[in-house]
Amino acid sequence: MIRRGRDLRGDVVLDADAVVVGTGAGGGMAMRELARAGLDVVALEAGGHHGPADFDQREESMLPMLFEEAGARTTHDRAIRVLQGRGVGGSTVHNTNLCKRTPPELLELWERRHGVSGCGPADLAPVFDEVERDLSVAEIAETLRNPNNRVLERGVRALGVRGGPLRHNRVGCRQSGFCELGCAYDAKQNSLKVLVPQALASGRATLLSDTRADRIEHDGDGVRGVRATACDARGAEVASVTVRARVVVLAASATGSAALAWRSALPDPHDRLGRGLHLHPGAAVAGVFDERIDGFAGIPQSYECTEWLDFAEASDRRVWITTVFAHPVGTAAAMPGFGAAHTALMRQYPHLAVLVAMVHDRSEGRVEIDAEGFPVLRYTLGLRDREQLATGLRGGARLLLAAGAREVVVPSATPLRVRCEADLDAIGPWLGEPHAMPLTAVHPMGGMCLGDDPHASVVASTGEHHQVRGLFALDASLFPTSIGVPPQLSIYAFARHLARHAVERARAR
Amino acid sequence: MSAVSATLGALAGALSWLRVHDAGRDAALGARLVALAPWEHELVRHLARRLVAPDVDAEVPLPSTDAVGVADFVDRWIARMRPSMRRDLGRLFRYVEHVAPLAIGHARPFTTLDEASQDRALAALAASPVGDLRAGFEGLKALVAMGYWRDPRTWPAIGYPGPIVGPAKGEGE
Ligand SMILES: Cc1cc2nc3c(=O)[nH]c(=O)nc-3n(C[C@H](O)[C@H](O)[C@H](O)COP(=O)(O)OP(=O)(O)OC[C@H]3O[C@@H](n4cnc5c(N)ncnc54)[C@H](O)[C@@H]3O)c2cc1C
Ligand code: SF4
Repeated sequence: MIRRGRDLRGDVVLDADAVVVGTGAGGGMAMRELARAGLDVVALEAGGHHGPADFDQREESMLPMLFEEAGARTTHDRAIRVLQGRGVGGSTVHNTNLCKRTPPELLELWERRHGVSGCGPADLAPVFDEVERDLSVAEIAETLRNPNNRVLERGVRALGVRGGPLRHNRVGCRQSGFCELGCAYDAKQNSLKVLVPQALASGRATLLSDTRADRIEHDGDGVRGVRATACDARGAEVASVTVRARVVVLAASATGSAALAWRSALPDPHDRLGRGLHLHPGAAVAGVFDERIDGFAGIPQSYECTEWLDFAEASDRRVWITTVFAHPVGTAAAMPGFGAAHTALMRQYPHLAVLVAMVHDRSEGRVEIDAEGFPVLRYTLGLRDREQLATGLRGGARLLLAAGAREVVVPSATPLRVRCEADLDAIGPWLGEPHAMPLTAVHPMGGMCLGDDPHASVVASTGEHHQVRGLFALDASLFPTSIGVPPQLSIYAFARHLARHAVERARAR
Repeated sequence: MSAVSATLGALAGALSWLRVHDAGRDAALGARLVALAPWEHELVRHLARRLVAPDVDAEVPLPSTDAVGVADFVDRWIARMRPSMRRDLGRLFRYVEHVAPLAIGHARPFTTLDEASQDRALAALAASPVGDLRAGFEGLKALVAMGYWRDPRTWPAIGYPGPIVGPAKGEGE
């Protein structure tokens, strides 16, 4: 059953075996697994419940509807824009559907260096198989590659570097190109379409949308439930909600889960809460082509370049390149300069092919909260990562030139135009300094990291909090390092893999 | 308080004594604004004209920022921002109106400068050695971009066909 928070009034008290906070990749999976195990589950989702009919493919309405802070969330110094979803389905509603497994090298590293147990490549391989079946993950056929992705493929072939097609979770895709504004055609096999409905179909789950968890109720040893506030469409508070439960699963994202933990004054004897924040910060370069590219149309991100990416422990190749494309508002905000020069660039819009370089970052930030309880993301890109970013931007520019771009625009504060190899030297680590060029992160991770050593992690390898029994984190907060690949599949898989411990805990007490 | 608030607060706080409104002119406008003060609304109109600067003479002309109603849109948009961001934005508006012109040798408010001077003040802000101010410039640009390029009347000039809700091309996978 779904109840809209905006329809609630007064004080609402519910009893359940488990409460799940957030319904994105981790929350949707946790909710389904708990409900399928026969437990009574209440899921709380701060955002609204929207469906394909609501997704009107316009930035002005979809940003406030589907994104935290209408897409304006940033790191503490406003240097990196951090996009995250808000609403039933979380960030899976507006993500691009890319599915890549956690690199086995990282799973091994987490066992070796971060005290993670039971989550090695052999443990997770069957889980990935199941999740990929659940979400119908398949490679995007070559015939469905749009011109922007063909440009990348052409560049990869021309330079003889490593690259290839990507796998996505979409069925019945109409190639509209509006993935990042929600799918009006219900083609995304995501939490909203697949997992939440399966959980509700079990008859054991209740979902309260528009209901923000404010505080985890605990006695310093075990959880007792969650206190929340239901809001109307404009965010005004209309009811207070208490869910009493023996198990609480945090799945409010890498920023939301740690923020809720802060607001709840959880024990944190080793000062670990919020630490280990990674972002995969990225920056774009735009190639100007004579022919029309129409990057806004067709399936986004169906091809990648992995020439500068590997997962060895001390690797110096930590940048991933793929395509990216924005609709007019996003493009205008990212294009360099202002006034007539900016307008002239906007007039090139259909002739642009855009690549993004995303850093598998070693820089570590921390999630904190401000006086009003909102997440504050303290994060600064270190020199090594700025060098990686520069490598990626140079790589992206070379790929675009090799694919036939007339010139490449680097949208730095002082715009750079690259027309030949010699111009590439101007691209340096300075571009990763705060406010040198627009940086965006769509993959926040960490904050409640996994590991068996309470001195170094917040939750054990079961996903359960080291100090507070019955409290689990099953979302992007778990990862002890950056994962270097799009994270949704890893989040779905870890939530699937670890939810059984939450089930056991709920049954045990 | 964030680093941004601290910097902007220090720079603009000293200016809080300045008269930044005109009671007569502002009354009617103030009644319909949700988040902006009338003088901020006026500032956003000026900013939008210079940041977008549509080349109306082109073969496929772009509408003016006033015709699109950028400032009214920005007023409604920022009403939804988190309180700390709204406070920072308020400080930034004050800074742009009163301090940014000083950087190019003018002691008059931004909204009273001619277009060329406004452009120079904005260029100085965009290239400021203070990171928070560069961030402020980008934030203003993003707000104005949202207010302008969201409008379907701007799309023909940039070859963007717009939403296609309903059956689209292709039969699917
Ligand atoms: C534009 C974009 C494109 C992306 N593309 C891809 C891609 O192609 N492939 C990929 O693998 N990944 C992609 N990602 C990232 C991926 O979607 C996320 O990493 C993933 O969804 C995170 O899962 P999560 O469960 O941690 O959090 P989310 O999916 O973000 O869900 C968190 C939910 O918790 C809710 N919440 C927060 N606080 C509270 C609270 N206090 N009370 C109640 N509810 C709360 C939020 O409203 C949200 O719905 C993309 C992200 C973005 C922004
Ligand atoms: S490209 Fe496919 S998945 Fe993306 S919005 Fe369009 S139909 Fe939906």
